[in-house]
Amino acid sequence: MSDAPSNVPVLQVDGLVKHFAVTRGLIRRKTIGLVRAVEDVSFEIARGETLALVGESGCGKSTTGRLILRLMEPTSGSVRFKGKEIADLDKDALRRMRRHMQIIFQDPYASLNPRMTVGEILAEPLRVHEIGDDASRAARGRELLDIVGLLPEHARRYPHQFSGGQRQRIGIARALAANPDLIVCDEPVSALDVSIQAQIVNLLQNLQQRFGLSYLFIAHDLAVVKHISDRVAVMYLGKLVEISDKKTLYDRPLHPYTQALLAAIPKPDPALRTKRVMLQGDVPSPFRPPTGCRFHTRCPHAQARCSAEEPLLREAAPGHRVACHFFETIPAPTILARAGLANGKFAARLAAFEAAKTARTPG
Amino acid sequence: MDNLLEVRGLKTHFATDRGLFRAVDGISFNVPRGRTIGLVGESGCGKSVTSLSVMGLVPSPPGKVEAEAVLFSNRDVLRLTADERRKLRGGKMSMIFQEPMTSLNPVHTVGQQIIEAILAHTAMTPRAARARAIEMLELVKIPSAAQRIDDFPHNMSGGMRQRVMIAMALSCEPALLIADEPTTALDVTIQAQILDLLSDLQRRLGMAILIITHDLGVIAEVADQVLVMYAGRIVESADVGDLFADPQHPYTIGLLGSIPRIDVDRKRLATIEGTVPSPNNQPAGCRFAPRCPFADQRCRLDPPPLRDISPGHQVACWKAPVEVAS
Repeated sequence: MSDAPSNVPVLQVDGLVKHFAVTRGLIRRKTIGLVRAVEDVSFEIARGETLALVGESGCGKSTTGRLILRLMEPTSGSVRFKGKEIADLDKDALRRMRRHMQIIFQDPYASLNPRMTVGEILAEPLRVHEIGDDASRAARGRELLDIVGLLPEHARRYPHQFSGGQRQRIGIARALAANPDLIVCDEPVSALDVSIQAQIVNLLQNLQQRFGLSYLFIAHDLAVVKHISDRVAVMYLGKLVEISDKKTLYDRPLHPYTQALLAAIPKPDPALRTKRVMLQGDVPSPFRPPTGCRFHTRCPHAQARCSAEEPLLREAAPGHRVACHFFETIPAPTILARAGLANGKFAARLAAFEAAKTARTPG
Repeated sequence: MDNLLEVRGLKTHFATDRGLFRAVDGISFNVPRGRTIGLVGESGCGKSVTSLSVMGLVPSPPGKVEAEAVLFSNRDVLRLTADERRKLRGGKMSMIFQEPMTSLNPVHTVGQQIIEAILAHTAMTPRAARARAIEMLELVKIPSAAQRIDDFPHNMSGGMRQRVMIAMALSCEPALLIADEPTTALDVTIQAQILDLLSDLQRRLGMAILIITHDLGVIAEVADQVLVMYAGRIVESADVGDLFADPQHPYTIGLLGSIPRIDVDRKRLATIEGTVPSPNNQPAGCRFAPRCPFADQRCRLDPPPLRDISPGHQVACWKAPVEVAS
């Protein structure tokens, strides 16, 4: 795997589709329709890059992550890992490939076997991929614990003896065990408290620099995503509606849905409290998505054409694609003031907090 | 100011096999009429137990609620009989929870549940109660309320269910609404709708809100005054503007620094090292001392009291205010 030319993206996803059949009846099952969970999704991830996939519940972001790892069979479409088509692989080849593509889940407790010690959990991927012997796997386990900020003696403990943040560190260590190139991070910090979330986000950033990892970072929280990603793809009801580099997306979002998502985030600054233009209503069911543009039922700028004709993902600028008929003409949103916490004594106090912390850390 | 709720020295402890859990350990605060007080903290800090204690919903045993006083409209609710307490709950004092699906009964229509609450607390006829229920559903902006009233909870989206919960909680015109993580289970666009609805209803109905959340963003959007809790105690109390511009307690500073933000570019998030102490094994002195970069010997031995640092701003820290070179 490692001999692919380095300019080939780690991951190329092209026209990915997943439909789930909805059935009725216990004895004679009849398909009564399809849930179009993922519809024609395409993107690439370069080496060492983080692409965030964001959207609300049911938009298909987690399904996309599972399709990429082939934990689920896609209905159609292509996924190439370092230039190699995953759909063509047989069972054995797929398992060998998985060594290079790992996943971290939202709920670390549900994804760790409660009957295995942490040492066994970390050795298992190596055993499955027939790497090393018992002694070298145990040594690797201790090394991994150190890498993610845990102690060697933790190898003898069980998952229930750890806090949520520590369990997520174990999940990360397991993903790193076989030296992967790509890690799919599926809402890795959503279940954690904010101070612990910051620890894990910083750890993921450190690991990326240290091991040259690529991340597909699946999240609903645009604030976390802004912190960790290089590029961002926004999904709505199974479709990509906007994809661009991070700075462009946050400074000049073009799709009305992206604009609404950014406006809806509560800003941790009472000075920015303003009356917002809000999205009305709920996300429609993916079982019967709206005709035309799927967002038109909630879009403040929708026109007749939007319900009739599905917009294509069009290029707005190099690397910036938007699926909206009218992105050239809809008014730009007021991007929120950037003063925020720079005022007051908070910034200076935080600097003092960080300095005191550094002074206490040995080395 | 006219206080609707005054909590003095509240302690809620749980006797468990692994020892005594001091979930809430001596807190005092006021909720003035018509204002929104935010109670913020991370998992296990005791913020939800505080609200359950005020509501009288802590199961006993294993729980034990003690206080000098919990005055609601100048009546000590801890001295009320079980029956008087029940009258108050859902009447003048009501509550909404994080997960509306688990707080709604799945085998009854939403209308039946709202009507039940109205009939329990008023002398209305069933017909009048139904009209009132529809009026409440309209108030929380449920479209075609007269039809949706006969829906079951599972026919509704998460946001709609939370609106139903709010309608039910407000149906008897409470003076105090306790909202425990009301938007945590909702998507961000729906969260914005619900927060907006709560502020709007407060303006129209004039009730006080005690909102409990882990999300400082939510606090910044809706609260007038904020209480920061850590390990069963209040560590800082201030007006919302003061808290964000001039945070004094090291925990508050670290917490604000660890929030990822879309309006500020920061290379790295600040972190608070370590994890919260276990409620059956609290540190002797300041409970934040083991994680605090400023802590010294005194902090580790001697618990700091909550004291005034400026008008309306209280901090429980020996080191506050942290000296800032300007």
